[in-house]
Amino acid sequence: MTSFTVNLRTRVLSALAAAICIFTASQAGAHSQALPAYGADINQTSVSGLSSGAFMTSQLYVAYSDIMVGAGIVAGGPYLCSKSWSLNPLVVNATTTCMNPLTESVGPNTRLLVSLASSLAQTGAIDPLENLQNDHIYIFSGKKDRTVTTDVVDQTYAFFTAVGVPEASIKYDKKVRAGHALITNNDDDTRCALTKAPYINDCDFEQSTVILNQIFPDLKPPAEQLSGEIMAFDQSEFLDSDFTSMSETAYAYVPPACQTEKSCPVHVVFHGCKQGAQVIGNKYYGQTGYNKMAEANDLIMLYPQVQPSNSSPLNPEGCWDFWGYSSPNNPDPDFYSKNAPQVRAVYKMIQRLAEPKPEATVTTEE
Amino acid sequence: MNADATNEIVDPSLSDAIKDWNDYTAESVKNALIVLEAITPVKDNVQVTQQVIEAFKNTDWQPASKKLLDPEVLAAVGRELAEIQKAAMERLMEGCNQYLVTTQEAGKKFADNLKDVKSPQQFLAAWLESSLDLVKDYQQNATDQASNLGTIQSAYKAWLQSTLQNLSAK
Repeated sequence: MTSFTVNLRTRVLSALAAAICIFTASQAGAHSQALPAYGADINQTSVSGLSSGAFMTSQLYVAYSDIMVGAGIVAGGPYLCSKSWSLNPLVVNATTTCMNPLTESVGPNTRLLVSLASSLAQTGAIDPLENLQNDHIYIFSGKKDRTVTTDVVDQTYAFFTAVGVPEASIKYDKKVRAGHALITNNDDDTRCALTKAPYINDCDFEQSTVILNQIFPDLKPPAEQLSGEIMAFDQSEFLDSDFTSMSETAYAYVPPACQTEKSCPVHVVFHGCKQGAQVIGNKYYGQTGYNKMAEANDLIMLYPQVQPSNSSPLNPEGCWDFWGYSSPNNPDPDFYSKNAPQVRAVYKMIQRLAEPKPEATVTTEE
Repeated sequence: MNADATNEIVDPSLSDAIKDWNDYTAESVKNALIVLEAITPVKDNVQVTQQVIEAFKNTDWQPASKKLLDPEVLAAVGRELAEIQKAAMERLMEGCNQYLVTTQEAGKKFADNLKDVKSPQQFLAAWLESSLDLVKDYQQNATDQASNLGTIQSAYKAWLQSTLQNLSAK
């Protein structure tokens, strides 16, 4: 390895290590329950996320497009981005090409990525790309974002149009002077143009509402307050690998109607690096507006969680895997297909939510 | 001498400054271990080799031989390289400027820290705190500059592959 690569990693990892020091007390609890079955409508599933969560969004969305109706990608590059340039290791592509490349021409190699995705679909490693053509997609890049630049996010748009998603079905917003963050309409959050932990910025609109409105037409406005509580559940039962870096506990919000009579769609929300519950508590899963939209529109919100890990897997910032850390011993890691450790774990959670409600629960509620 | 007596002798600001240095040292060791964990040259080489073989298998070299003589294609290739070189210089200059800014600000910070100093121990504490801030700022500048070098190296490799890809495109 060259000194440049070492230096690059030094920079990334030392910055990452600083985040570890701000761990709050673990939200993972001994009290978390098993994720219940609610008879959710699995064929209306959708997903959104910020940054590494946006890369993960693309991975889950493209891999399992059979069940998906749309996606929201905030400051994220195209599917398979870290495979853009063969002469670079995946982690180098992930931290340069897929974040802040030197010039547009050495950003994500979308032509190759589309070709790789087509090959994966042909082998069945991911669902057919044709599934995406009827979906609705939201893409966002802040004008002041120097972490994942607009040049990179432009290629997310290019990827989806190249695989046949009509331009009219994609809402791409790159006009807001926002830093690298998920956007809220909350004066208490970070000022819009900054890039600063916990990477939730006040830019005078609720991005979760815009994302969900793009995916599902004709939604009601967000509820004033929640009628139920956010559920902490045991995420570990869905993990079948020691290297996922996923937390013991994850979260979900299930509106009362979805717990009883209705079969509701599931929307998966992925946090970004340094944004898991172990680092910032409930700020992402509890204060970004998704749950109020869920309440008003009978949607189930699922918040899988990743936590920082300093060795095997090496994930000191607590990012979702888009370069292969979850297969530490494999030089050709799978982080993008239906069988990728994190992707399949999240899919199992969706499957659980879609299992029929237990009879006893229905009887009790009625 | 018992602990209480020691506390009376050592100024609290000096204790805090020493603690901050200790914390910084411990964190630096932890970071160094993480960096060591990240260095996987054998795996990286195998990974790159596999990726290159895969890319070459999917490349049709016949069009490349014709395009190599096309002045428009060659001009585009040269233009991309020139853009990369210009951007690389700009990033490196930004990094160098940041060192100068850090150095300039260090003196001001030290002067500010000295404003409320009333004893030699407090002077030492102020000096330790200012030095620690400066070390941290320089370290940040160094990691940023290392990152710039990594990005530049990555860009040149990407340019090489992009050129071959464009030449082989039908």
